[in-house]
Amino acid sequence: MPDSLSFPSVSVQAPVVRLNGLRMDFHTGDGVEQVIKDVTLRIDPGEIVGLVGESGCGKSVTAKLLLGILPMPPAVVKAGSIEMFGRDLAGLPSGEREALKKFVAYVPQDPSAVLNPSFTIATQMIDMIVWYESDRKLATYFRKRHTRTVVSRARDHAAHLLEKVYIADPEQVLRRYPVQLSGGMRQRVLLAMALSGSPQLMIADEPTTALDVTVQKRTIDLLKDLVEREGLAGLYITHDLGVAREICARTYVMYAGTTVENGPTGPLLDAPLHPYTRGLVEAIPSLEGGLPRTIPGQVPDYLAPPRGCRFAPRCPEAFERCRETPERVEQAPGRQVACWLYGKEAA
Amino acid sequence: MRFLRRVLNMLVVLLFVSLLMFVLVRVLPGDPVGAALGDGATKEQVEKFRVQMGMDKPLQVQYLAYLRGLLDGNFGVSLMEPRDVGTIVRERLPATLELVLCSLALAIVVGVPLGILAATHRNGPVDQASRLWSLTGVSFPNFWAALMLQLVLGAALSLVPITGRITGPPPEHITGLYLVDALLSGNFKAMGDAARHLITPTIVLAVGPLAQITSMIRSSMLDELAKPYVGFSQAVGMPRFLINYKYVLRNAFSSTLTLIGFLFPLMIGGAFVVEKVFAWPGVARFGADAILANDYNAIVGVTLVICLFVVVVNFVTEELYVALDPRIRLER
Ligand SMILES: Nc1ncnc2c1ncn2[C@@H]1O[C@H](COP(=O)(O)OP(=O)(O)OP(=O)(O)O)[C@@H](O)[C@H]1O
Ligand SMILES: [Mg+2]
Repeated sequence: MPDSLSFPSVSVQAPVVRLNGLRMDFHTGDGVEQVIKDVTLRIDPGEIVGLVGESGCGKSVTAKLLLGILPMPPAVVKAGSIEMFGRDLAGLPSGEREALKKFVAYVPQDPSAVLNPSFTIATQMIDMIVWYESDRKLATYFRKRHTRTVVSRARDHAAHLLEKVYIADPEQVLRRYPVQLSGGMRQRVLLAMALSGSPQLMIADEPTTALDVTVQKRTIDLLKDLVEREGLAGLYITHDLGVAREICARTYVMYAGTTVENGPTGPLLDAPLHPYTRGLVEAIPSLEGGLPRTIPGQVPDYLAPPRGCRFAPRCPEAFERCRETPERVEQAPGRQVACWLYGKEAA
Repeated sequence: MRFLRRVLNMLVVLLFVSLLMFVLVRVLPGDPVGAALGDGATKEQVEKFRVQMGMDKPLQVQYLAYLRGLLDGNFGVSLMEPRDVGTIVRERLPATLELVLCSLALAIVVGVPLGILAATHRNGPVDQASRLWSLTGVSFPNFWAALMLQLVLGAALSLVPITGRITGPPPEHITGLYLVDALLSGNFKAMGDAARHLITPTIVLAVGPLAQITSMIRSSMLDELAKPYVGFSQAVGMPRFLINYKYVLRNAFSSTLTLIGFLFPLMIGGAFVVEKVFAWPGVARFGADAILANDYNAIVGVTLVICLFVVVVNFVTEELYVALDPRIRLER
């Protein structure tokens, strides 16, 4: 939208996201779950970064934190820093934090559930577009939402966004309710919605797991195409290492709340350093389907996680040293790993 | 087509209810004739009366005769006052409707915002209070609440009349609802009079439904708030106000609508007690008296009319529900 494209405080050069040594607990009825131990992650402008790991490793928690939808409490940030668009979120007033959401496009896991069943696509898109134009003021929003010219302009814009995701007949789709659309179509509508702010960053949390295989492929292609055309940065969360290889320039491997290894996706998957990454890569089934199966054991209980390296209890190469937490070391250019097998002091 | 089937369905329900009630009142113990004629009646008088009322014929003949009468709008003669039950019910219906509608309105107007507040400020003071209220309010005995209010507001403080529907002359008859008639004819004196009489019975009848509506709105709002679309709306930065009042409430309200359909018959049930305690000249009191007097035609007639209302209200709420929820609407 014309006047809202520029937001003075959004920096274009700084990393879009920078998490540094993030530690986060959840205070639940059962006690304190120490879920996030050390997440260090950077996303540069125009770059798609992958985040992989087993179920329950804290990938969605990380995504929710960046999206600003992690309920706090129960979540409590214990250490580390969170920067988005060059701004430290810790000291940011909630109004400004909310204002940043316009620059973040969210592509959720289950496209069927996130659209409101009671409203047409048009209503939902227009609501969003008009709200983004309203300077975060409800009064302005309500006035504009009931002004015909504004609404019809917003509707045209919505149709235009739907065209961007290759929907042939936008007018038709706008009139529909979510139930009247197929899963793939809903995911496209969500992609179009994601573009309705002025996004700089796209966060996709397993955006294709709920879709069937053929639609998955097309959605991934579309996503890739969109990110390139719009010049977005992206965080792409997935179980599927093949998809990560296809669209992510760099990838972070996460285990039990720690980013244990990261680097350019190809080399990372071809020659994994961390035993956990190796386990994941070896677990890729030759035929379709499935989560990693061959790493024995499971993600630790966050109420009482193991001391030191959290992977040690499942690690075939664990030794004495692993009772302490390993430092993250730069093993090759752009290639970091947090494991006692590496670094200066490694035997 | 669907509409026609619904109407047919309703007719079948009514027919069934009429049969059930017709037989039930006659097989259950009780002697309407004795009650109607008094203890001093002779054997001949009783016999003559039974023939007059058609009670000497077999049950199925009586029932068919009753149905034929219904077709002519003839509900049979009441034993308590020798007039057609239909006429009596028609006269008394507006009083009950006025009471029930006012209570329902009160329950909705207070219950819905309370439920919303409780859900959006979970575990806050409003939530705690409303949960306690839901527990106690539902199980609050009507007659006790009625007596307490009569005692405090009526007798001790003299703020409101203790019984009755109006003290002065009633407003000109237009709809039969005093408040509406008074308003339409500009008779504000009668309006104030009627309103003062309405206050206590309305509150008493609203206690239970109010608690139910509050807890229903609260729990369905909480269900809705946990749905992924809420998280999504938050993630894209939509304001809390819009999420709560446009998206969540809309979805929460449609499930509450069905509850209101259920509440209506319960409130009429409550009206039997409330009208009796407040000497309210409505159908429910007539029904209660009819049961005590074993007045066959009156019992069946009142039941049928109430049943008709319940069926129609259910029909309307269901249609509204469908209109509000596109998932159901589109499946048609
Ligand atoms: N609101 C919360 N309160 C308490 N614990 C939570 C909360 N949200 C997440 N957790 C905990 O954080 C852990 C990580 O969850 P998360 O959803 O991030 O996993 P994930 O890596 O996304 O897994 P998946 O691949 O299955 O989506 C889980 O063990 C979960 O119990
Ligand atoms: Mg997840």
